[in-house]
Amino acid sequence: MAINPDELRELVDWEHGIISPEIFIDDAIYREELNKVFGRAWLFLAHDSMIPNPGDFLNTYMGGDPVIVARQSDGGVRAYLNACRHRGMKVCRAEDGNAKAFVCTYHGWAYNTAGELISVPSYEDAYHGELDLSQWGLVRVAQIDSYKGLIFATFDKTAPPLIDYLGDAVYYIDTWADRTPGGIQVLPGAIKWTIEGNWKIAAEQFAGDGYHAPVTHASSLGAFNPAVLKQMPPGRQYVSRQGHGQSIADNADPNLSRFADDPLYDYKQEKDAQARAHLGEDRALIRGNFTVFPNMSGLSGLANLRIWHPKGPNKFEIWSWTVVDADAPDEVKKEQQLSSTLTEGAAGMVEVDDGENWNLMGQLLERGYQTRKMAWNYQMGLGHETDQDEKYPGRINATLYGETPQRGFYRRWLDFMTSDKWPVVDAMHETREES
Amino acid sequence: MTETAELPLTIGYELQYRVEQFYYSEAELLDEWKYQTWLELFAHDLHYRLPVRHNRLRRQRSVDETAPRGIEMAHFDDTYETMAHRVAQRESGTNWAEDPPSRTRHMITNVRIEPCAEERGALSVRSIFFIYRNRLECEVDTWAGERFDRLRPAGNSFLIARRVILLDQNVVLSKNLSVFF
Repeated sequence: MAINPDELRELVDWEHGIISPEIFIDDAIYREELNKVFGRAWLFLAHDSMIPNPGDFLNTYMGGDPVIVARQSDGGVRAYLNACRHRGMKVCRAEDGNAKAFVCTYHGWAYNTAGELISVPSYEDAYHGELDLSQWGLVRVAQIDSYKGLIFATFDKTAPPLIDYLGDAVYYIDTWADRTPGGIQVLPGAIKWTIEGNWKIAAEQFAGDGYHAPVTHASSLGAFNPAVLKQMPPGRQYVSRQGHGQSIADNADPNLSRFADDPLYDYKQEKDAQARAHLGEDRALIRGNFTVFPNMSGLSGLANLRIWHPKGPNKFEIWSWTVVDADAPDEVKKEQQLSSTLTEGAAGMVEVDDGENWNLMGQLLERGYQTRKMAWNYQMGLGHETDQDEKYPGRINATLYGETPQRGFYRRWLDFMTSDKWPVVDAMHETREES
Repeated sequence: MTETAELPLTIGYELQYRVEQFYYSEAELLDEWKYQTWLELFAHDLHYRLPVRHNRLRRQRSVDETAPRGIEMAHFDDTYETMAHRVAQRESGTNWAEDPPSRTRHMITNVRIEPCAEERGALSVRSIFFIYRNRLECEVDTWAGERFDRLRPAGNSFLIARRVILLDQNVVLSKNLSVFF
């Protein structure tokens, strides 16, 4: 399929809540996505606590491309393609560590942790001393910046500043990234696994799909808290014009544990009092699944943070981490690690059942023809949202279940896919055309 | 098998045979979806752990990948109680990842037995596993790795008191790990 903006708009009729699954399987759309979405959006790379010391580095991806993120001697962070300028070989094959230099194992071009080319073998003998090393450093991202310790980068020098990109999502990000004065720490150990499906399916689910929880997760969330099986819990949903989304469960219980006898209970009670003082009463209560457009997600209140790395139209990897209060006692961090290990991740009691859905949906699209032509329904709560909520910024749907965030996510995706320039939008209060 | 109540601590043919038979029986329970019976093979002070495998240069990797790592995320880091939660989930009838149940084969080999240095009378046993999962119409997953067990003699059999699993994957290549190792 050729990528024609009008055809894309037909496939993604977000205003009426009708979306074609072609956008989850078509190869040409995927290739265009790597360029127009992942080549331009601000993408989450890492949290400061993952690379605290000079020379600390980790490998991640920006869309399909491998990127090294490295702490500099001046405390700053740089990010550059993990691809040698000579023949495109990976210059670093460790997933993380501490390094003084990255030496390509093909011909030996060597780069410092700033990404600069510092030596090539046989420089005098074979290059006659004529190669301008300063011109052949690793390809750096166009912009890199951080918000509350969360490091983001973009390959587009025309992208607006990170803070504008995040827009009103910072109101919600602060509820987990700046919850208490001590800040957060990402625990060591990324859980990485593979889904044969499209990355957007997972991103949209985390943006606002509380609806699946009592059914998909009946055997885990339903067993931990049978009340969720009976009726929709109170809550709401948020989406920003920038495509970021969040479920907001109305749950004043700071426990929010998967188990009644949570050993973290006392600690969470105490920290919640701090959070209410730091963030305000309403904001401190915000907890739920979220997505920062396009592919950063998490479960605030349940300590989870993750990236959906695209690996092709019908394949993505989940890289999932656990977040704790940096100043928490070790026994509290350990309890959170144990709790998150039990529920989240490839073997997590909750997440094993997501994999079953996402893989089979991908299989149908991979093999089918009629199934690809069958439009999907995204109409839940359509017309019941407001952009003028008294408490919360962004577009709000006043029920926990709905597809307001999903529609907003694909609206934003369509902006990126159909715009030749970086698609700037009014961050806060754009009025919906038909209302 | 002899009727001895006490296990000979001498590591010889008979002990080797009994440990291997124990593992074959365990594999049979898993492959026949008898998870509750499988759980009874574990001691109540169980620690069952499947750590993350790292891609690091030799000079920066830990020599003993089975050693405790403090506060680090893992695929499994379970007690007997949490394994009981997992077993109950599997048998709930709503654990869609394994319902309809997958067809699995747990192959256990390279069984090596030593006296346990940490617990008098117990055995440290290493074994290699290869697990095949065939699911629904056409899904296939395979997992290879090694188990490091502490087996505690109990009557004429054993209880598994510790199990550390080294799965030979960095990025897990399957959609989930809804299998037991």
